[in-house]
Amino acid sequence: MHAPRLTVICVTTLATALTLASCSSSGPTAAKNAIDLTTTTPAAGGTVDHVTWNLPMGEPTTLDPAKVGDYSPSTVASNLCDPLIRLKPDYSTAPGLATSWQRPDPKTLVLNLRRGVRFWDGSPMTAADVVASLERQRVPATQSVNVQVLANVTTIKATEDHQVTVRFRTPDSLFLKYLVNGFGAVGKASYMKKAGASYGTARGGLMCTGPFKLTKWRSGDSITAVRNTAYWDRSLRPKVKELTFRFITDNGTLTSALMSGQIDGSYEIPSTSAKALRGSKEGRLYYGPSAQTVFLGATSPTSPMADRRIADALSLVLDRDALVKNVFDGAAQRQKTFIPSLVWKSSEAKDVYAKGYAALPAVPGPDAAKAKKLVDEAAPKRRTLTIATAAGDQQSLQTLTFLQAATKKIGLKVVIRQLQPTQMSGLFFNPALRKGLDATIALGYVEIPDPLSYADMMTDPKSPMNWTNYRNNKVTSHIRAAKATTDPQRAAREFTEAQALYAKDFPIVPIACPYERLFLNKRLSGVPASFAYINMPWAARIGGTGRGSS
Amino acid sequence: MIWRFVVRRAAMLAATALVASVAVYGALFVSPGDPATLLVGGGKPPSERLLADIHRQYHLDDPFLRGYWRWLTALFHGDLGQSLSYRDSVAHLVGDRLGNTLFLVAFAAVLIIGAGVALGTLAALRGGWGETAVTVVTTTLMAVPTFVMSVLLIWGFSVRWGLFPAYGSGSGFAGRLEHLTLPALALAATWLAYVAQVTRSAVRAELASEHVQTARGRGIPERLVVRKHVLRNASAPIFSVSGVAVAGLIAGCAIVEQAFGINGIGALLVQSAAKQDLAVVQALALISVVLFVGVNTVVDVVSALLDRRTPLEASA
Repeated sequence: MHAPRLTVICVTTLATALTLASCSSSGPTAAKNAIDLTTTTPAAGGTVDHVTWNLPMGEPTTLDPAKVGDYSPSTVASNLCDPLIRLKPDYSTAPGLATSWQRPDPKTLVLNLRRGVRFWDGSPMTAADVVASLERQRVPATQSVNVQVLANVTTIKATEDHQVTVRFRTPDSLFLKYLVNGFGAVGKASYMKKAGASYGTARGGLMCTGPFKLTKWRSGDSITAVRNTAYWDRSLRPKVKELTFRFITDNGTLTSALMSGQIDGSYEIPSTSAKALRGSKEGRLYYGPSAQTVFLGATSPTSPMADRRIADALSLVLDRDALVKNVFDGAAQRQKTFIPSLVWKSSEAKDVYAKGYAALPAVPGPDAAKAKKLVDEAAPKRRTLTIATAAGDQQSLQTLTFLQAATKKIGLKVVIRQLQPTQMSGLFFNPALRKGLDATIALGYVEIPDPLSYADMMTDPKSPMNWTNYRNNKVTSHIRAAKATTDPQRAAREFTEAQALYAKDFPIVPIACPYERLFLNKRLSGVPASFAYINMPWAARIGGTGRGSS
Repeated sequence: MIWRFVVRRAAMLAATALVASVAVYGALFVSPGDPATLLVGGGKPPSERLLADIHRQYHLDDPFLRGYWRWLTALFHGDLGQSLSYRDSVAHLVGDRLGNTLFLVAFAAVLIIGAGVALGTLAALRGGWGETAVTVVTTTLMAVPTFVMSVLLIWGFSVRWGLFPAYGSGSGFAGRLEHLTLPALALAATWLAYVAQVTRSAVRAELASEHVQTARGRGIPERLVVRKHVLRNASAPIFSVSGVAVAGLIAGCAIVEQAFGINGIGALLVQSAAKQDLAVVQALALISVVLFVGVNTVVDVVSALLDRRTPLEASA
């Protein structure tokens, strides 16, 4: 069970097999860790009749791209519905259904659409379909998770058969980047209208242009898709004839199913299963760069942790090397901040981001004496911290147990409170559910290749995610400036200036950046091992290796 | 006489179901958390308006009594409600899964009654090493929790030897038989052992009884003695303990279905309870209670018929 995604973005320019440069800069750890990170598995050969894939976070509640923003639904939907801009395994972007774009003025974005693209039913994709796909996300009845992205948009119009023009109230640098995920996915206008609220469900189905067509969804059992032999991107015409998704959430069952070859593969392999799967003869466990991040955040202004000195003290007693080794099975990276560097590693302004990251203070090593001094200095009214975690989330529980043991030495007491899934997901948005809690451990990921959205969400005084009423006017104005400029260099500079400031006073404890874990049966290859899979047609790359049976 | 008994048991069933439904509804009602946030979970923080919209659509803000009444009256119209997390009708969800669960329970019941009774009878009649072996095996089985048994079976029979599938429910009769063998074994193990032990002691007691001694003394063939006198008289306690065992399976299903990834109502109950999907949990709780009490009633009636010495009034 994972905490709600906090849409963090972690982008890296990883060409093929890079070792550990992904999430941060801690050199010494890199040497100790023997894990090789792979952006993608070796290219695949022949056609495969059937592939069974697992979604370890459970069955999606919907596949409607407008409502998708979580592990399971994204993993499926990214193979069905193409977005306007495509994410690549290295977290860089490439043209998708839009081939190019221009900004005639800072408040206008013109998207030129690909010609000759057809929906699964053979009808051509036009600008009207793109407009309908974006516009419907503004309508409350759609219940889109992307309403905020459209807040700054005034009009979306088809200006030609294959051209869409978007106008903004104020210049908006993030809109284009949001087009890589479900927000930018295109469905057939008439089909969406007819399906209404049931679009994307087992009953309503989908009508998109992606490499796989949704054919069957037996709720509780499986989702099946077959290949789209007329897919517009010839290089990505699938080699897999039929693709079935299963929803095994039990770690033990998943491990057995993978080891017996009944399930061909899965992303997000839990660390407890990783130990067993590493030695499997049935397939291989790959580690990839990731945009996921684990951190501890204060949940109320009255929390002792709202004082940055207490947050620093917690950070100082945490033995991150031991944590990475024992809790994450070695498959994580220490990091200086809560935004993994994969988010910006492929950006046009990556040098600016890298310089900004390098200038941040180093990850502190365990130093109980210094931590104790900070606690004495802060002299919090309460010395007990109640920290929330989702019941059943072993990784978070173990991390908090580590923290609990360490804080005894510095005169703080950590109480771990395990919450039911609905309470855990609710606390992110409902202050009433945060009552009695001082902090929470969160696993988040950054979906879009830009660190700005995440920094803004955490530090803006008006953001619902700013739980400690953090306010630093300089930070806010830098972030606003970064959002308003369409010059990537300038946006990066503004962001890094904001980052340098909130890195000093924002109450948060970055813990680690877990790598992506992928298990793949030996008969298959070709899929990306990087976390970018979440928003790209990864299954279109699967093919046979000519080894293994089934 | 028997009809009055059945009617009274039916009334009890209805009362139990009602109490259980209030308890389940109440428990989910007071538990903290907002199911709407889980529904829109992930990605970006949902807008207040979106959450309010879902709350209105699924009546999440209704006071307890109004919500409960809405559910109850709909039920009498044959409407089990709409699932929040599946965005589908509960009747449809349950209908899809009920077959798997019933197949699993029936399979386990056959194992429990068939193998349990056979093992117990064999142990009692043979005595000696056979009896010791059965006692040791059944005592061990009783001590192993269902989820551990599941893990052991999966590890041995599907990962090591590849004899059975590790997960899933299969389709068609043959497919289900293949997929549900290990889950049924895991589900049946403890109860099978229990039934075997009860059978063994019941058969032993009958063997030592006076009428059996008399029958033997009269020179009636041993085969007939065993069938007519021993087994017939031992059948009532064996049947009643088997009934309890089968009713207990309904509760045990959730663990096994989760462990083997079976798409049944037990797994659905676990998942829906975690998501506070009220309508689904309510319906499933009701179905479980009805099944449980129903099986128990059938067992009581049949036991009473098997053994005329059991007074019907007292067992009610």
